[in-house]
Amino acid sequence: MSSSIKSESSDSDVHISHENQKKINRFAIMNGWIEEIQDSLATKQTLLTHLEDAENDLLLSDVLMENPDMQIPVLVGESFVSFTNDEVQEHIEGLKKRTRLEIENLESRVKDIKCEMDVLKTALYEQFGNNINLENDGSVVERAPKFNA
Amino acid sequence: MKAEQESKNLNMSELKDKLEESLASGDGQPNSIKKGQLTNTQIPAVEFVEDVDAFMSRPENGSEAQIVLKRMEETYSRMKIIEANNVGTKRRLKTQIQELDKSLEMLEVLKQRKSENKEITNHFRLADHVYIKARIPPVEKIGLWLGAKVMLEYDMDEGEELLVSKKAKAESNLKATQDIIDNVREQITVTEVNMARIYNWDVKRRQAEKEKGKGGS
Repeated sequence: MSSSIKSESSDSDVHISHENQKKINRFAIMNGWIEEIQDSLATKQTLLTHLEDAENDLLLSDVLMENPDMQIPVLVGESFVSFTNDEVQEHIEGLKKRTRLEIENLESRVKDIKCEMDVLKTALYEQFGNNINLENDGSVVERAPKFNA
Repeated sequence: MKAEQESKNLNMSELKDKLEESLASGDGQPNSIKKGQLTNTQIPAVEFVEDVDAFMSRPENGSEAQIVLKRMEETYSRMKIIEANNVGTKRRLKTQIQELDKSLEMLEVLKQRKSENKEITNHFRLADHVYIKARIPPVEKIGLWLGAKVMLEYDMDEGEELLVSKKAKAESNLKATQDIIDNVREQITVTEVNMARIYNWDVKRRQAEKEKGKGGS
């Protein structure tokens, strides 16, 4: 309650210039990006873990120890192609390398975006203080004071 | 007879172009942005309200906050619908790119085995959860599903080229769709801020009136 009174009293000071509106817009758009990039980052990281697990399982497999020439089916596209042990390792190594590269790219994008968002956040909080809420619930909403008729 | 043959060939190649144009992903959706969908320039820019007092005293607004807010809410829901449509398009394009990647991945293996002149032992899906073993001798040609219940045979390189170009096109459509989404989100944000400020303006106005009423009595 007290906070709403406070924002009512300070509301007269809130004037939003076009410049500030642009900053708010940019922030909102970037907020949309970051969520998506973080999702695909998580997917890639899971993939990398799975690849590492597969690699370890190949190394520890008893069946493979007994039959070193065994053909191992590996999912390629939509079907399983049989590879020899060496080929599988090469295949996995290649996928791991590619996935690591993709993760690096995504991470550096996240870093850049977060950096710019922080700059905007600082500037906007400085300008509007408690009258603006830029927290990570995905919304950029000006706090509207409650009106008790 | 020869001319007829030629015209037939021409028609075939036209048909092929058309089919390639619409090379569909698994869900049968063409990868181009749907016709009738708004392009970025067609999305109306929402006016930014710099000075609420001046804005509200315009003749069409007549200081009636409720009416102005209602109008803005309508714009807001329209924008939300455009946003949702484009988010759907984007999701479809992403799925399609993933599927093209899978095809390219398989093609890579086919090519490699062919260069080594080795056959491929493959477990492929016969039905959901049913896989069957097949031996594939080195192949020269691949069949690409073009949609419209048509599959066309290509040389390996030709097929790869087509898939790569489809992927590039899907990626550029994806980017265009993202630009539309960003633009719509910008309009949505402007509308949100406008609505909040006009609401606040109205609250203050009504409070001032109430105080005036108190003072008068």
